[in-house]
Amino acid sequence: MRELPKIARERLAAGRVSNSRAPHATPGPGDAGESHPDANVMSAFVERSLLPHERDGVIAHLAACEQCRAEVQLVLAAAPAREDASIRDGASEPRPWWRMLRWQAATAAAALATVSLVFWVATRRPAHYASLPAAPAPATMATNANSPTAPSPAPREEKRAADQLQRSGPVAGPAAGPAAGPRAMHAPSAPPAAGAAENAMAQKSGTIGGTARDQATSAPTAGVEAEQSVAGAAPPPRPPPASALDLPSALAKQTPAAAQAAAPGVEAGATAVRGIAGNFAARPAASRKTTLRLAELHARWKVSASPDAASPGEIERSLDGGRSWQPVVIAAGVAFRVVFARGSEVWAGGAAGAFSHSIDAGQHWSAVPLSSGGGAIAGDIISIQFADPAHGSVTASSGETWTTSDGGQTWQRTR
Amino acid sequence: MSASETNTSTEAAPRLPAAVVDELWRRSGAAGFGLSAADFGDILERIVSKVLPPGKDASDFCRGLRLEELALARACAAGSEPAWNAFLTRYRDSLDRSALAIAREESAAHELADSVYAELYGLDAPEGRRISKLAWYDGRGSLEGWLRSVLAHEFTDRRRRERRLVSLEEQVEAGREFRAPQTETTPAPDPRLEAAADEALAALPAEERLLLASYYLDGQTLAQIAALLGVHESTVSRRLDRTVRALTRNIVKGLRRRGLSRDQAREALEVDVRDLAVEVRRHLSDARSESGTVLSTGTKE
Repeated sequence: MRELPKIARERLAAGRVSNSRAPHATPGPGDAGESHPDANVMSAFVERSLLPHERDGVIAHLAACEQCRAEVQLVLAAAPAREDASIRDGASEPRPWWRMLRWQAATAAAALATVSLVFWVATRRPAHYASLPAAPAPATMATNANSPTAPSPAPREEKRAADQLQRSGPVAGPAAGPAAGPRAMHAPSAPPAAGAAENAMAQKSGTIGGTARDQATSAPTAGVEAEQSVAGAAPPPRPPPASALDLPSALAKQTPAAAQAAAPGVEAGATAVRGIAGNFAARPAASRKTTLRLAELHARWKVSASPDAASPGEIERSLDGGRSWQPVVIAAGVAFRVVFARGSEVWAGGAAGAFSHSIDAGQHWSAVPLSSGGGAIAGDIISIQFADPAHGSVTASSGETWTTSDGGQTWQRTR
Repeated sequence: MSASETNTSTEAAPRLPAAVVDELWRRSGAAGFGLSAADFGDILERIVSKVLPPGKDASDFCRGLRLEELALARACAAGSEPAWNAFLTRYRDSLDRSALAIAREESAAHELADSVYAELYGLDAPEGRRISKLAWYDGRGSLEGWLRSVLAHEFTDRRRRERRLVSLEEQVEAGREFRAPQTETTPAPDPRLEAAADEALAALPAEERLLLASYYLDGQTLAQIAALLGVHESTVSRRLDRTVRALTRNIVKGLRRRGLSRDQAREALEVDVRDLAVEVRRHLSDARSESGTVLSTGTKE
């Protein structure tokens, strides 16, 4: 790194230079004249939830106050690695459109080049290249992103992940469920999105957080980051394996008595579903103007399964990978039985056809009436499934199934 | 950004419609801890009047707050038993972990966490009335993050107090507590150079100054700075480079405006007379010390 001129260093250290507020009366430690940002401001600054004018003020203060710089570094050091990831990718700073365009253009150009090369080679020597793999473009892009799982990725990975999940899923023991579930399900979401991620970002995300990360677990982080930065540039979504989606509903069907024991399993299932989030990179909800922190896109969801009737099923959300859970109040007094999350989009269903939808990771909810000309849904909602952002189905305890093909705008009873 | 909210606002017109208060109160789950909608509305109004500039939409702002955590913290401050139970279940672990991450040493971490717990319970309130520190949490960041900030603040505060105490003791021991402060013997820099540097620094955006201070004064790593500003490491490195270059250029420009020739300005910037003085002093002290091998070559000043 370049040397800073000594005089500049000295003047900087004196902390007198400031263009937005009164200079320190007595610079250095112990100065009481300046009001230091309090814990609220400090934590909101670190979590990027300050109002813009406040943020500017804090930055100006930090530039001049050594003590507060040390403090904020301590706060960052104490923050769990997971949140670090949310900080690093700059989720709160929407990328200018032209940068997205640049990435889209670059990706498109790369794909076009590969395709035309393959086409050119294939037309020249048809016999020899007839059996060329069908998906050359994603493979090249994934290689760009330094992802070793790149070549001909999707089908095999998906199958393996599904197998793993099936093996661990039905057991749903406290140990096997949460541990194996999410890990297994991370795999399928990886390759398409990773292809579009920035090289350095992909590498970075691989090194953040958790222990014993294998390719399968590091890749989806890159996927979500890709979703943030180049929403729209990623390849079209891939339908998730059926087994993954069956899991939460299968568990939700169990009797209340068994529900307590199965709670970790439900959580695992929800997480498994979350893993698919990376697939829906081009989803408009993700690129909408609501500011969502990455932690919220990573949120884990579960239904608190308490057997006593006094506290009905409550939806809970975790922003720290499941270490702590906060209840999410959707509608008072409604017993929820199943939650389905995909990125920032969350669906929750429960007793007597209660059905709510959030597009901002649970910050706001709207009730969705499940009815069409012929009447409303009967019974409790026990399963919610979305194969892709537009196509979903809801199953009730009465055996009814309702489907949508327009992202939940309208619903039809199909059984 | 004021440090306290002791000013019981002179009941300005409420900025939150009752319906919104009710909605937020419901969402916060405050009822479970015995906070009424009116209490909660009061809390929200106070936060709004403290934080939000007039004319902005208070309802939207409040919807963005961590309502559940706010309700929990304020219920604890109000002394609700169930709230305390919930608080301890949810945050004790993370508080202890954060204390360890900050203090980096088991016993110091315990001490740190204990003193913060005391503040949270409100033990060291001045005139008998217990005021829990949790009454200051305003829900803009997460409660967990707020606790980390409180810990970090307490830690740096302590360290500063200790340092002051130690240095005073040392002085007393050395029998020189009344000694005049050591005066800097280095020649003062050229005032023109100083002015040009100040000017160039002041012209930088605050964020670039923060970058410089973090990297060159505090010796933080690129990764640390990147985490602080929420950008990528490579961005930090690029921006640092660009900033230093621009700064140097602007100081030279400033010097030229003050009548120096281009070469003189460059020279003034690059060869600081005081560098030579410091070097000489260091060499002298090295020569005096027994081991002759301490010749330092780097410019570690």
